[in-house]
Amino acid sequence: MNSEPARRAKPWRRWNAATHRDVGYVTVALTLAYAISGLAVNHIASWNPNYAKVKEVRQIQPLSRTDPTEVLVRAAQAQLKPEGKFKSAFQPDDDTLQLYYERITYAVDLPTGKVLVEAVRPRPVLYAMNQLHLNAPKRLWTVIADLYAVALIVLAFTGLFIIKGPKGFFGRGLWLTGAGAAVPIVYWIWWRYLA
Amino acid sequence: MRIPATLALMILLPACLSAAGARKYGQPLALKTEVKVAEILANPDAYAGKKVRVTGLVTEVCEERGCWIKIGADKKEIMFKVEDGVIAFPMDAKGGTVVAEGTVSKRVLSVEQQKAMCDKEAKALSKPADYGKINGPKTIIRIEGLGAEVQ
Repeated sequence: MNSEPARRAKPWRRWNAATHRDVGYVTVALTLAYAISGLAVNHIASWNPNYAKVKEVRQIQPLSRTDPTEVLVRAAQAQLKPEGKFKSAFQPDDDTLQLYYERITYAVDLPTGKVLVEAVRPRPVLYAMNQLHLNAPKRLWTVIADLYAVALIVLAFTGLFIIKGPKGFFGRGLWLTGAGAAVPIVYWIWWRYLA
Repeated sequence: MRIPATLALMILLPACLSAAGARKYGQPLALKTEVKVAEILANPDAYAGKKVRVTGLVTEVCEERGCWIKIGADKKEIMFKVEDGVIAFPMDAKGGTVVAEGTVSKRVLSVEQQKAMCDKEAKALSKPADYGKINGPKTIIRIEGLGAEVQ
């Protein structure tokens, strides 16, 4: 009976654990969104994390490079029969006509009639996560992202003191925290000065 | 019925609002007079370092980060580069009409500088450097973007 109060955690530690738990609940969705988006954006050199792109080459009758753009647009549309809403057309040079539709671009090589069709569609969910991760909306999202960053700091510090004893921060925690901190420090020194 | 109706409104309202007007990026447009893209490309020294306002079509968009677009008019194109993370153009801006403002920059890259860039890119992508496209000094004229409106 006498030992029961001694086993109970101190009030600050209970508050610390409760803060860690509840802030963790609130931020779990954002953490997953940022983490998944981070993985996706890290490998931007090997794939496009925002858009799925489909390319196709089609063949139409060659068109006269001397015709005015309006005439060329009508002639190309008649042969290609594109679907969707037409936005605009542009000639980067005398031999090329580009037709822009919602999410589809047709690049017509006028002398050969070869057409490169590029269809682009945002990757569902991942596009949204990446846009939020990169703070594309700005305005209120900047405030939310700042609050989230503060919440992560709170989670980091409260997480250190969840438990006490040999498995707490002043036991194995100190070693593991040191090892974790060494990863960015050592990597930075190696990358900046040695590599 | 109320919840689906509210949800539909939440989804449709932003779409209707965005469809109604131009999408604005970065700083508000401030200049009154426009310069043609062809004029800048023909006389880069006259415009280098100066703020300009150009109008044209968005002919290309950076697929990875939306950090640049190409603005085309009169069979000429110029790159409109914005600071990474400050402005991000969506891919559906392609084909839209853009009014954009920024500062014209002109850079001449020596062969050595181009090779150094190739080396850096090759290292980042873990691929061998390809100097095949380098054939003498290269002049890059672009607009360092400040703000844009895309319709």
